[in-house]
Amino acid sequence: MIPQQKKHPGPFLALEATTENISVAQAAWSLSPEVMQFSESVWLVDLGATWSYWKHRAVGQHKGLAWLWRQLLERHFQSDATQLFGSDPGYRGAIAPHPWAALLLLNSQAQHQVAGLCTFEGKRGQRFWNRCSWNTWEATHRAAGGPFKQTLPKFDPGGFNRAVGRFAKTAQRLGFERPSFARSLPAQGVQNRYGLLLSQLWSHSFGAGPSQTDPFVWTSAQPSPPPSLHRVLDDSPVLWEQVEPSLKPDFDQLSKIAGTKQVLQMDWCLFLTEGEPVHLQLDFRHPHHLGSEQGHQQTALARSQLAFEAARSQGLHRLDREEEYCELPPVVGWDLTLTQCIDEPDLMLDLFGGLAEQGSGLDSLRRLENQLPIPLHRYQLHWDWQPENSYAEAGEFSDQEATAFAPGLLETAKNRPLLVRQQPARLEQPPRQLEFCESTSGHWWAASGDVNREYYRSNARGRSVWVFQNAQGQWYEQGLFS
Amino acid sequence: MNQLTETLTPLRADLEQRLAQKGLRLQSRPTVSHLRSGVQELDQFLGGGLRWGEISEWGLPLGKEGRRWVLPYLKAASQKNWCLWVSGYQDAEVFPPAFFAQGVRPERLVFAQSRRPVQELHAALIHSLFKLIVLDGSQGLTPGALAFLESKAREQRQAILVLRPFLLSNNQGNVWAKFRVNGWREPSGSYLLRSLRGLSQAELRCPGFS
Repeated sequence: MIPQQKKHPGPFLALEATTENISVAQAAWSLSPEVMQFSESVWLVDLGATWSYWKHRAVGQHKGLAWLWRQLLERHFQSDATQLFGSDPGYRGAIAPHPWAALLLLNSQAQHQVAGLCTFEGKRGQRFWNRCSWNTWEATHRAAGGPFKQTLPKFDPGGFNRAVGRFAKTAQRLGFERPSFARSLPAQGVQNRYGLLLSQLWSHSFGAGPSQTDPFVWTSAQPSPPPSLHRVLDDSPVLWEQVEPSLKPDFDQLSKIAGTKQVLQMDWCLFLTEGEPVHLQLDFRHPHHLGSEQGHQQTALARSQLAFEAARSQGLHRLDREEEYCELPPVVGWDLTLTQCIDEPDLMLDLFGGLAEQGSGLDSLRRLENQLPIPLHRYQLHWDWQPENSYAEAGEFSDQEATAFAPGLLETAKNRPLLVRQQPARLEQPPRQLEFCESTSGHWWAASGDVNREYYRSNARGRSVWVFQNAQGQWYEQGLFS
Repeated sequence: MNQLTETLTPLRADLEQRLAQKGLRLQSRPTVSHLRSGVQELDQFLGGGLRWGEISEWGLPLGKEGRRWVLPYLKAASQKNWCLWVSGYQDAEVFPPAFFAQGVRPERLVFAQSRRPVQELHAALIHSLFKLIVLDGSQGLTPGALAFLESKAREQRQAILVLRPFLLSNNQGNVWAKFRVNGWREPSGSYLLRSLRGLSQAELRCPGFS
């Protein structure tokens, strides 16, 4: 168990079983390698680690991510009994941008005795979020005492619980019936009266916005010993071409040890003729099943080659007592360890099982992405008239959402260029030879950003450039008609 | 494989015999040699369309809207096949809705940002998944790299389009491209495509694309 501050943005799933004898941990590890046991019954899953993979899968089904996760969880938790005698999906889950918000949402759902999955952004999730009672809020904080005591060195459970009780009582006396009503409470005031930790948690849930410091310490749970393999080499290869023939059968062997596990990260520890062992981290963009490439191991070898060549060229290895860098000395052996995996059982594969995706090329695309040093992108339309928000990575939103606005968005896009600047460039002089294109209104409700823009095509200097003037009269160049 | 051939050969012979009795002949499915854009004049100009298994080179200066000549092929290819568009510009990125607005299927179009695709996208360029590959503004396309791409395109019947952000000239040739053209939009609004090599017609003028 390694406590650490979370670096990637989530989202996070809080998960518990509503029926006995079903492993929540197994369900959690089928979704992401980043899993934390929060309490005896509740597990947290960081879905950010496998976000792009699930997006791919959702696209393959022409559905949204929430739909996909719901299907996966229902498959896992539905026992014969629940299928026969009731509509209880067998679990309760809540997805939110922060683990603390996910926990509160889960407990609010439990307070209303509702099972199934809800998301923070969804209508159902918002209903539970707004109806979260002070009792639920207090109970969630008290339940956090155990994990906080383990991870925060100066944590005083008694004092924290008293502060929580006082905060809830005072807020109710002030007329805030539920935590969601007390959004206006200033973070500084909460900190002065009830302490820093409570104020930070408040900021990450019902407060005005996330605090700069995240008090939530993630404690990654590790499944039983990770699949690994040790190899001693008879020869001492130096070049990749010499390493590859020995590495390929090792991946085949490792795939047998790993079973149904799909790898996201692998540690390749090289033992050299001199110096310390060198750890090479092999990252996969999508979970990769080694068993599916028995005999050729194209994907794993491609990732290994990239890491090996990078190590050689960057001179990762440094000779002892010498400041100069040199290439890797000959390799005498290695350890291969699957450090991050998801375990997606056959049951789940049956549901999507590649069947719907077979022939669509998505599976090939995922494999290809795992082999490349740079990412590939697929996009979809998004209902927003502002050019920079009018598209998103495929799978970010449900198909229905994009389809509803597609005719209007496509008509608008006909007069927009193929190439745009990453950031609009400010023009000192107003452009000449203007031809009006469109008038775009942005998010007037948002605090920042331009609200209105007038777009033109400028044909000066023999080039067709896409420019706009904002409400303040400033001119920007945003794209190039190419 | 041998077992399968052994099983199929007598079946084929039997079928041929039955067809012959009816005065018919077994013919293999004709392979489509061209990708047609749907713009008749353009297809005619290129000798029936874009040939599968070949590399072509296009001089399309930025800000001159010459890429409109390429989009009909991207649209046609994306209806059934996967397409890869590699953009090699450092300070600019693709704006996908403008591609979709021209009828390109979002589900079948994959983008990558790479200045040196031969190194960074090697596995993708040689993969049979992509039938149409557009390398826009790519660097490092040496004669050796182009020869390699040409052989792969021929082997896998892919169409590879190399787009240059400048007008091509005959001073610097590209022996691996089957044809070389320059394209742009004139101030009058009509689109112009001028052949440098490999095409019988010298010039094509198009008032616009629907």
